[in-house]
Amino acid sequence: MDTSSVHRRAWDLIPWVVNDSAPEAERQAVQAHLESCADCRQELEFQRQLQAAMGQHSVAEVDIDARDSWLRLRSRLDSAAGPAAAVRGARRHPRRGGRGGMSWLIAAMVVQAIGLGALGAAWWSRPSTPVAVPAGYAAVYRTLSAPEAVVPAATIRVVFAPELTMAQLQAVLASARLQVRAGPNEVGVWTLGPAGDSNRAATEAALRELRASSQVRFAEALASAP
Amino acid sequence: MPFPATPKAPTSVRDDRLDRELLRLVAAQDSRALEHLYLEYHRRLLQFLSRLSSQRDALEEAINDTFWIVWRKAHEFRGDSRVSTWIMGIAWRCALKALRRNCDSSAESFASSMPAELPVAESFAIEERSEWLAHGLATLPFEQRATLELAYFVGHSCEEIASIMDCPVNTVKARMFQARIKLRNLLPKLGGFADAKHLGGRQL
Repeated sequence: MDTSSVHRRAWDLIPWVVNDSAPEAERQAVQAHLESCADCRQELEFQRQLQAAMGQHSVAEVDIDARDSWLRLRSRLDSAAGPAAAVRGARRHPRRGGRGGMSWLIAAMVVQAIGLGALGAAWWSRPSTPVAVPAGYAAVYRTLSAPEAVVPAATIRVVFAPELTMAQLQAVLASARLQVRAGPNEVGVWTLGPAGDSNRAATEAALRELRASSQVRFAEALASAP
Repeated sequence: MPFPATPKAPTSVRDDRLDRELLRLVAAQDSRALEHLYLEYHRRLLQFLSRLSSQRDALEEAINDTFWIVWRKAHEFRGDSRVSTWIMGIAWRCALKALRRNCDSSAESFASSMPAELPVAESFAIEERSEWLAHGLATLPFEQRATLELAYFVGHSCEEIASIMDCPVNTVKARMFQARIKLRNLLPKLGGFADAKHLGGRQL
C-alpha cells in the first residue's frame, strides 16, 4: 500500500478510533500512521473535540416526559391486547418462578455482571415471599403480591451507577435531601430516607432529583412512603 | 506514540447483557421489562431523534412506535447484533415514517429545509459553541447528520450504523467522510475547534 493509500485509510478510520469502536488492528494501524502524519494528528484532535462538543450540545428544547410517554404507550398496548391480556404482565412473574433453577441462574449472571439491584436480604428471607422474580429485576419489577422491604423511615429504593464515587454519592444524597437507611445490599440496592421531614412532597421532590441524576440507574418510592 | 485516553461517547452504548435479558422477558410479554427498557432508552432516543427533528409529536410518535414494535417483535430478535443496535434501527425507521406523516413530506425534504449555508456575518456573531455546532450540523444532509450522531453521540461502530440505517458499510463511510469534510471546512469559520490551516494541509 502506498503512502497516500495508507493516509487515506487512516483518515477514514479516525472517527471509529475516536468513538472507541474500531477493532484493535485498525486502531494500531492508525496509531502507527499518526507518528508520521501531522495532518491526521490534527484531524484526530478535531474529531475528538467535535465528539466532546456534541456531547455538551444539549437538545433539550424538546422536552418529553418519559413516564408520561410510557403511560400512553402502555394504554395503547392494553387497548390492543384487551382487558384479559392487560393484566397478564403483572401476573407473569410468579409463574416464571415455578420453572426452577434457570431463572436464578440467569439472574445471578445478570446481577454479578451488571450490578442492577435486587431486593435486600431481609426481603428475601421472609418466608411468605413468593420466589418469583429473577433476582436482577426484583428491585425493578415488583410483583403485586410481593411485600415491600420496610425499613423504618425509609421512603425510596435506588440503584446507583456502578462507577459512582463516594463524593458523587454524597452530592446526590445532599441534593435530594436524603440519607442512607440501609444498603447497599449484595447486589447494589440502597434504601434511602429523608434527611428532613417525611411527607409526600419531600418524597416526590427527592425522586425527581434522583431521576434527574446521571448517576442514578433506577429510583422508586417504597409503597410505605408517605 | 500511544493514544491519549479516548473518552467514551456521551451516551455510551449500554451493556448488552442486561438488554438481552430484558428483551427475553419482553418476548415473553412481560410489560414491566418493556417499561424498564423504555425508560432506559427514552432519553437516548429522544436526544438522537431530537437532532433529526424538533417536532414534539413526531418524536414521541417515533419513540412509542419503536417500542410498540419491540413489544411485538422481541421474539424475532436473533442476537446477531447488540440489542441497542436493533432498537436504534427500529427507531431510525420509525422516525423516518413519523417525520413523513407529520411533515407531509419526506425526512429528506425536512432536512433540506434546514439552512444550507450560514451567512458569514451571522456565523462570526455566533459565539456559543453549542449554537454554532447546531448550525454546523444543520447544514448536513439528514443521513450524514444521523451518521455523525450515531457515531459520536451514541457510540455505535461503522458496522452497527450500517445495520441501524439499513445501508452498506461503505455508504456509512461515505456519509461520514462527507460530513467531516463539510464540518471541518465550516466550523473553523465559526470560531471552531482547530486552526483551519492545519486541517486542509493534505489532499485526500
